[in-house]
Amino acid sequence: MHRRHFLAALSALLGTAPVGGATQVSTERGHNGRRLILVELDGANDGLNTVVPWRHDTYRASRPSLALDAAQLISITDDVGMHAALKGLMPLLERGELVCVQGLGYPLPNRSHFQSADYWHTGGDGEQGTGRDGWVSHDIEHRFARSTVHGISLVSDMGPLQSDSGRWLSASSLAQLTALSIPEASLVQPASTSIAAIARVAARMHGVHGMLRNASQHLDNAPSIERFPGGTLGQQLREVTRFIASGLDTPIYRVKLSGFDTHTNQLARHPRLLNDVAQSISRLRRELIDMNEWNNTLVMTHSEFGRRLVENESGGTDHGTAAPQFLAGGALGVDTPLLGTTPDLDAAVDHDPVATLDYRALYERVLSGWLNIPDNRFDEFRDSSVSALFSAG
Amino acid sequence: MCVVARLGGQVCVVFLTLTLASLVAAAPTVTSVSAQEARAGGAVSTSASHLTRVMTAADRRHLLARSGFGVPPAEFQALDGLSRQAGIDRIIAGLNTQPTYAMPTWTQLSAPHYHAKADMEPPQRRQFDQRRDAELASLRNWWVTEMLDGSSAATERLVLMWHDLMPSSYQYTNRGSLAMARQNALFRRSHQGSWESLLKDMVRDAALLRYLDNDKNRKSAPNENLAREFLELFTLGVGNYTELDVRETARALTGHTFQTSADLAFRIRTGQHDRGDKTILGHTGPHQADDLIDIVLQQPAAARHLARHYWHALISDSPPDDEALNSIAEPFRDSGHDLGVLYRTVLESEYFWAPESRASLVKSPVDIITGLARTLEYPKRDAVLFASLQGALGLSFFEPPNVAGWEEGDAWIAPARLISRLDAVKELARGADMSSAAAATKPAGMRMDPGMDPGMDPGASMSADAHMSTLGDRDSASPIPTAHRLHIQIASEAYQGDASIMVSTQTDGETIWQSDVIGLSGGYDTEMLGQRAMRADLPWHWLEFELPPSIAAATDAVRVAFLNDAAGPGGDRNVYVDSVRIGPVDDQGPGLRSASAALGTQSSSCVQPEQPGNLYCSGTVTVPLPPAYDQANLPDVRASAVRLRSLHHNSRNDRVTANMLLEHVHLPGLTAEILQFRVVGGQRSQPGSGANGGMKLHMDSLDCWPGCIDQWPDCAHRDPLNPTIASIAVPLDAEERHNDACFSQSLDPAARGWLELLAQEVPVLVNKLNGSRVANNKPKAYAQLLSRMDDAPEKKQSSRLVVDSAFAPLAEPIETEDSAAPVVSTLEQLLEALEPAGIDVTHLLWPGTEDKTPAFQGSPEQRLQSVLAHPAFQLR
Repeated sequence: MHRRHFLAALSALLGTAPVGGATQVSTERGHNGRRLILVELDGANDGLNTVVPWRHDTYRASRPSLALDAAQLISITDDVGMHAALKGLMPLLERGELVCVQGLGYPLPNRSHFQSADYWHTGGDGEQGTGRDGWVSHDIEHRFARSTVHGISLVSDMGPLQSDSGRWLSASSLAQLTALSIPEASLVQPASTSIAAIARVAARMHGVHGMLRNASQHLDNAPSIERFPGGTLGQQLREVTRFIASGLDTPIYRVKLSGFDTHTNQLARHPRLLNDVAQSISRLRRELIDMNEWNNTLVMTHSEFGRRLVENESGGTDHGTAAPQFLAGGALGVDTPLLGTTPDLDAAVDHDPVATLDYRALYERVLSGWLNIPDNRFDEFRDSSVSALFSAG
Repeated sequence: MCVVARLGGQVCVVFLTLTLASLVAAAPTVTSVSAQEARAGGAVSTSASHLTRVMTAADRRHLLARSGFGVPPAEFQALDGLSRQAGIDRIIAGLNTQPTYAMPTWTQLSAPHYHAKADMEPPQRRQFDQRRDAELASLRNWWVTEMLDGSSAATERLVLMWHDLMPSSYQYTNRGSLAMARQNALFRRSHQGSWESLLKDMVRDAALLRYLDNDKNRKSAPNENLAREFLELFTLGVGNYTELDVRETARALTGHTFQTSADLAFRIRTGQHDRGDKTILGHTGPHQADDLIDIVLQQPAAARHLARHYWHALISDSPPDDEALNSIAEPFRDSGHDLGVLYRTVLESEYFWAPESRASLVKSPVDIITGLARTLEYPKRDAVLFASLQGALGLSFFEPPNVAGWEEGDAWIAPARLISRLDAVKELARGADMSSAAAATKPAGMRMDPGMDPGMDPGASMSADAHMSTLGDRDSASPIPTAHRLHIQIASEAYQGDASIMVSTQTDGETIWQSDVIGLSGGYDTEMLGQRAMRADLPWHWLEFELPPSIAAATDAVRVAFLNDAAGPGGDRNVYVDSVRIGPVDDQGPGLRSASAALGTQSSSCVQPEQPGNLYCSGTVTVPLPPAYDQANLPDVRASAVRLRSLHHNSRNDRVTANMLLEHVHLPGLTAEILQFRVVGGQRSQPGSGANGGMKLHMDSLDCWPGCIDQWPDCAHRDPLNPTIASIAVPLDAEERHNDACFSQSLDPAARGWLELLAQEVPVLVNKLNGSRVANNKPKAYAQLLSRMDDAPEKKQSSRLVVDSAFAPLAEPIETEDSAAPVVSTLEQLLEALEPAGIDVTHLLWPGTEDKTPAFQGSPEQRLQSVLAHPAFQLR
């Protein structure tokens, strides 16, 4: 209810949606084959109990009931371990297919879920405010101008895929897109009304209709894929796998797992969430390896902020700032599982450790290094600490 | 059409008494009378010039679709000839604070025993949870019915708006069905009152306190969740407070919580409240919640924040400029934050009526589904179906996605949702056979699915009892006069066809009665709606069967067989059984028995184990029924359960604190649903202490539900932060107790009587707690507590208190509210009825814009489908 995007009339889907019929459908791959799957950890994942500086005195002193010890961790380096609930990611860790980028944040941190998630979705920060469109959407629309569908959100909100132009879809399952369609009666010409809002909805209907028509040749032949583990996230990633298997040339997918707002009872709740993340990504990997698509795929997590260093008295943690995020894929091209610098737990500002890397440095690297969009809007954030990513690819 | 609301006992305002038939017969007269009434009701503000204009048809559609849901023909007609001012006055005069249809009965009972959940075994816990789910489903259905046919759609729009603005969710309030129902009632009685009172009630509201973790907000470690959202989302907005204000606000709210054992009553936990000075928005003092609200409402940002919410909900999706916002916020602020003034200001605003605002809001799922049903006088007032459809389109009542409420505007027409919306309205308008409960009770023909497991053929296993089966046949020529009834609460998910079931009753494992094969129509269509989000989203309803009394009496178990499982990539066909109930027709008196399917045994073709009652594969669930409840010969000193809620031993001062609780307790002079007390004491070495080492029984006026001590003596302790809460401490040692002046002289004799008995029983009760969860988790502390009891001479006495779960009353059935009777039966009849009044239904479905409605072609049904598919239908 906060983020109403009142779109300019007639600017929506009509202008860019293919309207010419079958000839518009690209038969070759519309891009270099690479794709990005964005996994939102909604509610603010507790980074400090995900990638854990468990030897640090301040960590243990700040979290008398929540601090994890060596037995509850998967060792990454001598001082840092990964929550044992992520053990499903072990095969990736062992093969250099998992990287954790530490200490991500932005200037003037905001501790509101909605504000901070908007920053992460649009590439904004506390000084610049929120952008209008998703951080990937416009670059994708230009770079992959011929893609049938630019991106698919497996949840109802578009998040980082928000765009007033381009060809973007949301659907909770592939079957939803094949079973239903826009009726002919809805395809009225936007110009036939003088009311801007009606024209906007009309344009949207045309756009969706065109996209579905062009995508249907792939979607109608999508193979069925067995159930994934990992709850609702597994379910979403299974649908992503079906889209990929259908041959659709979509470069971006968005999935989301909610429930990370662990103000209470974190010891029981957090491992369940992390387990879902690990189990479902691990299964995604196996499916994509079988399809020979894992080397083309990059999975990246994002979350609005980290959680406070000091635990609260409800067995949980309140809103914080900096946090690590994960990248997973078959072609990360780095041989170290940890990138960036661990935030200094003893130099807290406003009760929170300070971010060591602007999250947009990671966005920049993903756009330039992975999606081959060197001239992107995050140029100024380029940072050497992540430059090794994708360098071997 | 108007039903006396049971809650207030007050006759609701009959505003729209027009049914369609009367409209056509007497439209001119009724309209003019209504207009006069509306004017007599009194416009309180001086009309701006635009308000004196007589409303056009577009104005009338705009006013109705914005203030309520859809454009019901009778209401549209009733506004004919009125000025904008008179139309607004009429809407406002119709607002009410009580529902037209009473909330479900369970909402008026005391709170479920959430405190007991920790003690329960898994099947009992599931039973508890499922009952809450069924309650929530009934609450949703009630609200849909209220929106469909209640007397004031504008009231429902406001209540929904507040639910969206200060949300709480059922799931994140620990299945707080009752707390959610009470929050709805709070919004309902507050939407025209003062914002200050509403906020002060909301920081005492159990659902909100739980949803935002304030029950865990303690002085020693504040939890900021409520504090932050209070400033950011509920009152001021980002940028109008600092991080320091958030932390200080959290401190002001420390200890503000509710008591589950006292019907969710609000209380401040004195020991957990931070009584020190806080500085909030520059004001320093020992602030509590009410001080916080007074401080926040002094900020000009507050009125602007709420005015912006109203703007987006009622006027336009595009943000207001400063001038527009101030034109609404300033009168509101000047009125002392009177929500009635805010509402009237919005409706009377030129911005509300401006051409740019017409058709500028994307319809929410409620506008799409309930609004359409209202506009079409849709014959099937199927609340269960409408709630499911609205949920599938993204809006499930009492389950907002997060603390910011539902994401509105274009999020409602994200591509996949847009397709689902178009499909749902097409199906609704087609009048497809989608009704649920009514059709489900009728036996359907054999509709076996090819995928059915042949081993599940019910005929094979039940042939020996075939001669019995006709007894329950509802088609049999002569009904059984003194029949008993079997009720089964059931829901289904459909996929390429409905689920089919068969019901039988058993005695000692032998089938003694069975039904025909029954097709469960109205199941949640998984192909059309996608996977359902939660159990409460299922279309629950009661199946009813008549049984001869002899069969009913002999029945010791009820079996439901799911016959035709099917699944595919697009969906899954499933059957869910919640509970069964068997008894006399009037559902009264002895012989009424009920049981939850969660306690049953299941046998199915699924490989994965299932929870009993959830039939994901063809198979059966068999639910054993308890013996009939014998109310004669109950012991006069009894309780249905004794529980240990918490236990603590402080090794520094050797003090033991045990929080204990009795349920459904009968003592001489006391009958209470809940009696909670703490056994506290220690320091056995303390000189002068009695045999029990100074152990005392503490209780206060919120420990007992519905109440134990009418007159608290003056010597009772008063809680400084909750002056209405009194407490006393009764020594466990008999001699100390009799020497205690407060107990033996000031307390009223009735209370003294049962407290005396309770004090004597404490050692026995403590022994009974051996093996309880808390005692098992804290063996050392429990040993300490036991050892204190060893010294008690009372322990040797024989106990009078009998504890048996059989003393708990049978759970009341959760009714599915009957929807209102249809006004018009078919689309053709509707169109015919509208014709003389000159109303074209396609025009009613068009948003309130002044441009010309397209001339839709074809048969009435084709024209209807055309307007529903038109992009304009997505807007209001």
